[in-house]
Amino acid sequence: MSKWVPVALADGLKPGGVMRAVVGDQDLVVWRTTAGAVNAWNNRCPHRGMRLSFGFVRGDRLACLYHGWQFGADSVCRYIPAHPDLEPPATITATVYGARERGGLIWVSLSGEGEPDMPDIAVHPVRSLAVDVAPGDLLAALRGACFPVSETWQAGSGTFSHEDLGEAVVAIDGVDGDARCRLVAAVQPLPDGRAMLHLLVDEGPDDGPHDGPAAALKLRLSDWAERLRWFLENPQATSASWTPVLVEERAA
Amino acid sequence: MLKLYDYVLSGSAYKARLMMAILGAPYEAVPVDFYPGNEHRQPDFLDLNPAGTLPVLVDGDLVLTDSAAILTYLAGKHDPPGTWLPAGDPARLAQVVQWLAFSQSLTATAGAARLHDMINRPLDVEAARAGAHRAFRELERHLTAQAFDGNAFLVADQPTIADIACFPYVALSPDGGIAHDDYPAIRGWLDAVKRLPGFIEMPGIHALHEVRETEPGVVAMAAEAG
Repeated sequence: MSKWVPVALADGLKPGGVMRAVVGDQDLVVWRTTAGAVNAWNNRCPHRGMRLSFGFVRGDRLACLYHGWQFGADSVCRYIPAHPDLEPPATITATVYGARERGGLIWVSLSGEGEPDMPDIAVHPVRSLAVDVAPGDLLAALRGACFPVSETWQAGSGTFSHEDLGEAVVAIDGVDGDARCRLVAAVQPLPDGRAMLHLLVDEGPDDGPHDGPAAALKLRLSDWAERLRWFLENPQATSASWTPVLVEERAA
Repeated sequence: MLKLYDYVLSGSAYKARLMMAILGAPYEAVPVDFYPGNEHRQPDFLDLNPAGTLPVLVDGDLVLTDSAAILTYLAGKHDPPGTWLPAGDPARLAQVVQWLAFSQSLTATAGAARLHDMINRPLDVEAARAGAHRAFRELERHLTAQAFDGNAFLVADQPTIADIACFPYVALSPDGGIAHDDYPAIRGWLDAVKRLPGFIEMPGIHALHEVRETEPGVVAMAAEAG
């Protein structure tokens, strides 16, 4: 698999943060130096095979939880606590994969070739949530989705347009009266056939720098994502005040 | 002195140990051979706690056999500011009690799956795991909303006994085959609990490792950077 896959919201991996991701059949550790650089490696310490995602970041190094071996951002082992005076051989390295930050997401590629399939737009993080449906079904739903554009939005009102920003990224533009809001949704295939939805938002035409969307907007969109998941996981459902996918799209 | 009937691998006993460590409450630990000795189901222990469960906290004549009750007592007695058990604020207190009740569903699902995987406790482990994921989704949704408001813990803007009650069986769930990969907000909350002053570990729950300035590798690294 050579494709770039979104594995997290960039905001979800703080400086010094460590997380696990699975891309294809490859178990990965994704981590960020305290200076902010993102790395993706095979999730296996070359010493004893411990998952490096249990490890911890010290400055620009990732340390294994098991025996504390420290690896620089270039993946070369820099320090072995049991042999403090030893300069570790340069042949001791973790296996490195491609890692990028783009469009508010962290992308990983096993081949490291090319670039993530998404323009580097400025958007704000909302949340990530796992959905028990296939990635293609989630993408199809997003391409026909509607959402509460504003606090006063009501089911059936507003107009929605959908644009693929990449193979795995959909933008949903909603206009309701004077209110407009653009959702950006990226879909990550999970190893067990399910999908992770990474949700971001652009509030619309940007007049300048701001602090990001209000908590109320994020909560509304988070609740929308919960409702979308519920409808996808319960396809026979009929009882709800509104559905997050446009009726004609569902019929199609 | 407080006396805790304890088992090192028990997530429920760890709730009491963690709370006492954070509050700085001294206690005497009485180890009970839960596995393989089954000591908690023997007559001597049943005299103390007829339910045959761990932990048990004894303070003078008071015997408490439920972990939520133990947390309530410890916070009420050893936290003079009253933030861990916000008894003066009915809305906050009710939310704390609600999450204490929720913690029982974690024990019954994620905790049960762990007992199955660790000591072959006979039960429907797939049902336990499915129940744990349902509970984790509820927790994830709540913690996501809390994070939008800048709050790192379960109730309002402070850690409470609700966090201590819910933390262990969520943190230990990978031992029962329930990964945290689906739940970014839960992962952030687990880290926030681990950052609490006085936090202690148990087998299966490791602390966040802070940089220690005296360590040679770190000094060398700082020298490189400088």
